[in-house]
Amino acid sequence: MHFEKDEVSLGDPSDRAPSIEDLIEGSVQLGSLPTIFHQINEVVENPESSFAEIGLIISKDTALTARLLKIVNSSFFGFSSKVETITHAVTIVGMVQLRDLALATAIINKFKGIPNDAVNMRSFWQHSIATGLAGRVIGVYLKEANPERFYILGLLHDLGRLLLYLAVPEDMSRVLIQYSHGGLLHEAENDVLGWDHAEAGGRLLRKWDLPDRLVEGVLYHHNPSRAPRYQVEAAVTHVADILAQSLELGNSGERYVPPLDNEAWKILGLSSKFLSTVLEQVERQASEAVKVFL
Amino acid sequence: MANVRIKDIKQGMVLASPARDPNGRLLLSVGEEITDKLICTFKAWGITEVEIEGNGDDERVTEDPFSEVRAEQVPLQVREEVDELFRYTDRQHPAIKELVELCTLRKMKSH
Repeated sequence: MHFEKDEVSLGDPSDRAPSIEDLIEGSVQLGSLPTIFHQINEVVENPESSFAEIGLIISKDTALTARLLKIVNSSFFGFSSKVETITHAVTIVGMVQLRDLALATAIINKFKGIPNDAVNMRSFWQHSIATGLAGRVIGVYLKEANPERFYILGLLHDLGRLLLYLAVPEDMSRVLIQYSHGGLLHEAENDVLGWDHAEAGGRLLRKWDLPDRLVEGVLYHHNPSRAPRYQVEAAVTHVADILAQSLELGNSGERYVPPLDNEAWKILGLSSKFLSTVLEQVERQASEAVKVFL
Repeated sequence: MANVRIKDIKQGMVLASPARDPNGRLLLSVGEEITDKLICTFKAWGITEVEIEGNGDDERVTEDPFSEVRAEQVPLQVREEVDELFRYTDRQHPAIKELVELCTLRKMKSH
């Protein structure tokens, strides 16, 4: 897999940074999600669909089937009896949740095969998975419907950074030099590029036609109170990122715990006492989640 | 009646209000006594807190995690690592304060 680096403007030295449009439009291979995901989505969105139908579609993709069954049978769900078919999985996990898990595996797979020296892929996904787990625990605690979407948000929140490392490594090197002078990595991105990984990731998800909920959750994970419609998504992801960063499970480039947006904290209405429970659960689930998702 | 975190509940405590899973399904009703097996079940179901009879003045319950260690007992290396990790956060914020304490304890255990 390679990226169209030529599209990056190299003209005026003061204008050396690639525009965010160059980045998103230039990544041809990342232009779309696998068709199977859209097929699954169609069935899920159709109120007339039966569990058997979604089972039928997923079962056509044996690799995806195997992976989903592995996830459903892991401690991530903690069911006591073994789940052996996708149709069974749909009945106990739910259609929307299963679609979201299919999305998660599709995206990880998409990036998995990219050779690189710039980024430690495993460490990157470890941080993303830890963020997802923390978001999911918070979502369950807040009694949000489909807490699985917070897991997806955690997985996706730093996707823009992966794009930076892989598609414009020279520009990312300049960002890292700026970062070495102090401050946070996303601030350095803004200083050098005029935009940051959150924006890049959000735009990529939009290009993939993913729902606004996910787009906003990623786009505003560093400033959740500015999300126009989906503040809960952004706020949960924001707090989950801070927790994953505190645990130092994996790393997506940032060395420091990002500052907490107090507005976001208030929106969620969490008690600080609850944090130890989240950290405990994330630590307990992280190694197995890494095993089943990576 | 006191809200108690799962990690702090102990065998023999008594539920002051029903324990429900995140979907609201009843797992255990008022007056049931906590057993070790139940604690495992709560964890598996993602329950983070339950209400326990009594006013929570049992010191095992109200225990502040950081009170297990006193600031001067924190090794210099741990303190420096934690300070560095949290250098861009507002250490006065209650959530960050809690996180700093939890991370300090965690690092001390692994040292």
